[in-house]
Amino acid sequence: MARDMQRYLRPGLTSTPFCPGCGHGILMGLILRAIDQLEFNMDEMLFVSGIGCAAWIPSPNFNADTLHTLHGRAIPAATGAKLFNPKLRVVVVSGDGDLADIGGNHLVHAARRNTDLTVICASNMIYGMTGGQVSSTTSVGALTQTTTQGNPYQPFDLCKLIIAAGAAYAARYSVTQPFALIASIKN
Amino acid sequence: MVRYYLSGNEAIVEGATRAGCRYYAGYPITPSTEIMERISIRFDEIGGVFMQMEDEIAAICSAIGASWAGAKAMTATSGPGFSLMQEGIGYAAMTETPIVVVDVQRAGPSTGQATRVASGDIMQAKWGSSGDYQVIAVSPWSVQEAYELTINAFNLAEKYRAPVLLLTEEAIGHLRERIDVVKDIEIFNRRKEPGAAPFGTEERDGVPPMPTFGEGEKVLVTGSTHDSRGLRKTDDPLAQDRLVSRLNEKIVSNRERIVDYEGYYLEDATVVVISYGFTARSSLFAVRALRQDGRKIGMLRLKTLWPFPDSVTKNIGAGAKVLFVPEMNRGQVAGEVMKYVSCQVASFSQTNGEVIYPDTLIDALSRHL
Repeated sequence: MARDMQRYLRPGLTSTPFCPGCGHGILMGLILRAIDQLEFNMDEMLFVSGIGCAAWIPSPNFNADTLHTLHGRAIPAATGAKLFNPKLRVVVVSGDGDLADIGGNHLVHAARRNTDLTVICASNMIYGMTGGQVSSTTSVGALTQTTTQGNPYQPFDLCKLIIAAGAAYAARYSVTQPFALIASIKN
Repeated sequence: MVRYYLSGNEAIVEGATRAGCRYYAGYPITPSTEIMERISIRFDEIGGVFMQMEDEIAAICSAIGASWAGAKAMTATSGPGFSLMQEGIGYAAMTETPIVVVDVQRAGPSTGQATRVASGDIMQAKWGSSGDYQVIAVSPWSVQEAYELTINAFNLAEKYRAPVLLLTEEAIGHLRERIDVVKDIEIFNRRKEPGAAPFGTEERDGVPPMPTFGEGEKVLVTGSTHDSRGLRKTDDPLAQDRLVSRLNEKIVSNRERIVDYEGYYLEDATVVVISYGFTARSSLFAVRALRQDGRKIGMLRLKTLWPFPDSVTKNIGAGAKVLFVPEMNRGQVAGEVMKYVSCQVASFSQTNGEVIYPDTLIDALSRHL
C-alpha cells in the first residue's frame, strides 16, 4: 500500500515539513487516498493553496500541477484556472487563517458561485506558521499569543457559513476520523 | 484596413481580443468600467471567459490562475483598485506569469475625483509591490495607440513572462476617435517546451518557457523563492540572489528591445519637452506653435514608461539646455529624468483633475526660451 501511494508524491521528497503531532501530515495522506479511491488521474488535477502550514500540504508534496498563491488568494486563483479550463479537477487546500480570515470574502463568494471547486480547510483553529495567534476559528476563551486574557470573540462555523452562502456541500471532520474524512473528500 | 470610431476604453478591448485575450476578470470602478462591460459582450461573441469578481484582488489573482491554465489574461481598473492589485502584480512578477493590467488613471490619492483625470500612478506602477522586481508599462496618447499598445502589452507579457501594465488616463479612456485597424498584426504566443525547467535558464537574463496546467507537466508554482523547477528555497542565499537577479535582468538587459518612443524636431532643439499619455497631445501642439515662432524646441514622446527609456533620455539630455516635463502628477517622470541627465530639468505639474491645455504649456515653455 505504501508503495502504491508513493506515485502521488513528488519524486525526491523524503519528509513532510510538519511538526510532530500535527494533523496536516495525516490529512495529506487522506486526501491522496481519496484521490486514489476515486481513480483520478493526477495529470488532470490542480492543487491550489495560499500561505500557512496547511498550504504546504500540496505544495510541493503532491505530484500534480500546484499553484501556491498569495496569502488568502487560493480561491480566486483556482477560480480563474477552473473557469478557463473546466477539465481541470481543482482542489484548494489551505488553512483557517488563509481561507476564513484574509480570504474570507473569496470563500463566501466561491460558495455563492458554486464554480465546482473542492475546498479543504485544514483548520487548526490558530495561526500556526507565525507562532500561534488567534484566528476566526479559535474558540471563545482560548489563550493565544494575541489573546493572553482569552479570546473574546465568537468563532466562525465554516460549514454553516458556506451553506448559507450557497455551497452545494459542506462537512467537517477531524483527522482522527480518517475513513469518514476520506468519504467526505470523495463527496 | 478597417476604420472604427471608438473610445479609448473600447479600443483597449478590441486590442486585447485581437491579441488573443480570452480571460478577463474585473471589478467595477470609474473610469475603467466600460472595458469590463464591452469585453463581457465581446467574449459572448467570440468565445472567452469573463468574470466579475468580488474585488480587485480576486480579479487579478483569477487572471493569474487563468494564465497558468493557458489563457492570455487581462484585468483593468483605476486608482484605488490599482492599489489593491499590487500584491497580484508582485506575485505575477515573482512567478513569471504573463498578465496585462490596465490602469485608467484618475485623480487621487485614495478615492480622489473618480471621474477626473490624472497620471498619478506612474511610480505606483513601478514600485507598488514588495521587493525588487520589474514591470513593463506602456502609455498611449490616442485611441489608435490604445488599441496598438494593448496588443503590444500582450506580446511583451507573453515574451518576457511578466506583468505588463497599460497606464492610460481617464481622458484617453473616454476620448472618442477614429482608429484604423490593419489586417496583419504581429501576435506573440508564449513559448512552450515540454519537460523544460519553467523557472530558470542558463543565462542570467533569460526567459524560460512556460508550461500549462493540465498537460501532465506537474508544474510547481510558488511566490516563495524557488529554484528552476519551482521548489521552495526559502533560506538559500544563492537561490534568492539568482532568482531576483534574473527577474530583474530579463527586463533591464532587454530594455532597448522593449522601449518605444517618438522624437519630434530634436535635431537642433535646445529645449526638449519629454511627454507621455494624453499630455503629449497638448505638448506637441505647444511645440509646433513655438516652432512656428522660430523657437528651437523639440519633443520626446515616451510610449514606454517602464523600463524607463534611459539611453534616449541621456542622449537628449547631453545636447539640450532644458528638459521640460509636463505631467498630471507632482513630477513623477521628471524625477526619473533627473536620474539620467545633468542639464536643467523643469517639472511642470498640474494636479487639478483637468487635462493640461496647450496654451498653458506655451506660456510655461516661453519662460525657458
